Amino acid sequence: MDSNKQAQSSSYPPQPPTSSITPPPASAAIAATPPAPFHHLLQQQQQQLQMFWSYQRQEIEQVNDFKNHQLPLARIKKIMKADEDVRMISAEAPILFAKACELFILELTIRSWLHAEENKRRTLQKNDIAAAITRTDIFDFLVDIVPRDEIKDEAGLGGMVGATASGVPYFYPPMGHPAGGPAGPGGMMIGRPAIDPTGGMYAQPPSQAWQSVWQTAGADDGSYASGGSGGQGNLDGQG
Amino acid sequence: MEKVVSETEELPKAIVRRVVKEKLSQCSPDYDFNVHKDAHLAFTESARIFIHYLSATANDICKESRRQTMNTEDVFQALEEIEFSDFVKPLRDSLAEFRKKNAEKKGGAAKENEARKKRKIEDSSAKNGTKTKQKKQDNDQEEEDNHESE
Repeated sequence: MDSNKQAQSSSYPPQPPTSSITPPPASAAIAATPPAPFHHLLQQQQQQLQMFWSYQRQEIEQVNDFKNHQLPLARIKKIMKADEDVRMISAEAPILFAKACELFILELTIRSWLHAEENKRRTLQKNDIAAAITRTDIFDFLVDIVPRDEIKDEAGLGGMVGATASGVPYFYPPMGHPAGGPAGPGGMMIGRPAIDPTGGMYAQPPSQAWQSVWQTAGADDGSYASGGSGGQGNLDGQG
Repeated sequence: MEKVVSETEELPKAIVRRVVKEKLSQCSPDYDFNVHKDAHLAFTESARIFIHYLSATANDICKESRRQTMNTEDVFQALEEIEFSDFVKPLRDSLAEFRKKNAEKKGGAAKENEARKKRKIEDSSAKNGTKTKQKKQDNDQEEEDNHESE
């Protein structure tokens, strides 16, 4: 069947699994555990992920037009430099970041879409992304960026975009951090109010430098939704 | 939803949107898909945080090696550390391709620059006008020919 071959043509869109497809060993182990209805979905997921990566490699080998970088390098550099700890960056590094970012978005998209499909929806919603983040260990760093719907957003915050306007993820403030946490009450605490703030979430950031991002970003403006030049206006002009 | 004007640099929404839609059009065989606006924002924001995460990790690695400038190897190592090893191979290929193209571009550009410089010199000495125009042109032609055979 087409889906077994390397994605040489439009056969990439993963075909629904059939009995002729041999599942990779990993999913056989997984298949034993979950309830029957999800078995084929996990199998499908495995296949899709494998095909995704082989497709990515192929794509890179075939099409490499660096004139039209997907993501603007200057913008990426600015984002990186928002972390004061980051000083000098080699010229090639932003290129890697641009591509890595793209791969990341692709992976997040696929996983989110799987969740939407499980719920028989054709519209990808924010909680699909949240679910994908919860399910995937390596996405743990996003766990408070895209909260799940069960936890109600504080009124008027309008979702996570507002809270992260200043670039300070709101999982720091509860620690009473000088990270210029929200001037207001812990109303910015969108993530997981149920979790002990001091103990949980990013009490252990992956690295010291990681922590400093929030510190410095917060210290700059000392409040959320800071005013300033709107990045919004430019964005759609890109690409 | 209130519109937020922020100082934070964001990734271009249009590009993120395009990346997501292209992928979904592959996942959904009959193009029957939609993306909620909030979801697009979530993608953009997640990508930005990913950059921070990767950048901070790479920066740490760079500092451990007592260097000032974050380089590509730091980034690759960082990817391994944050368990995105699947990205490494495609990114290495991508980088190799970029370096190759860059080298080709530089080769061509260097020749152009040389030719441009020569022309400048010729023009400025023509303005001084010590020789007759004709003789000058002949001399210049000789010079150019000599250079090009290098």
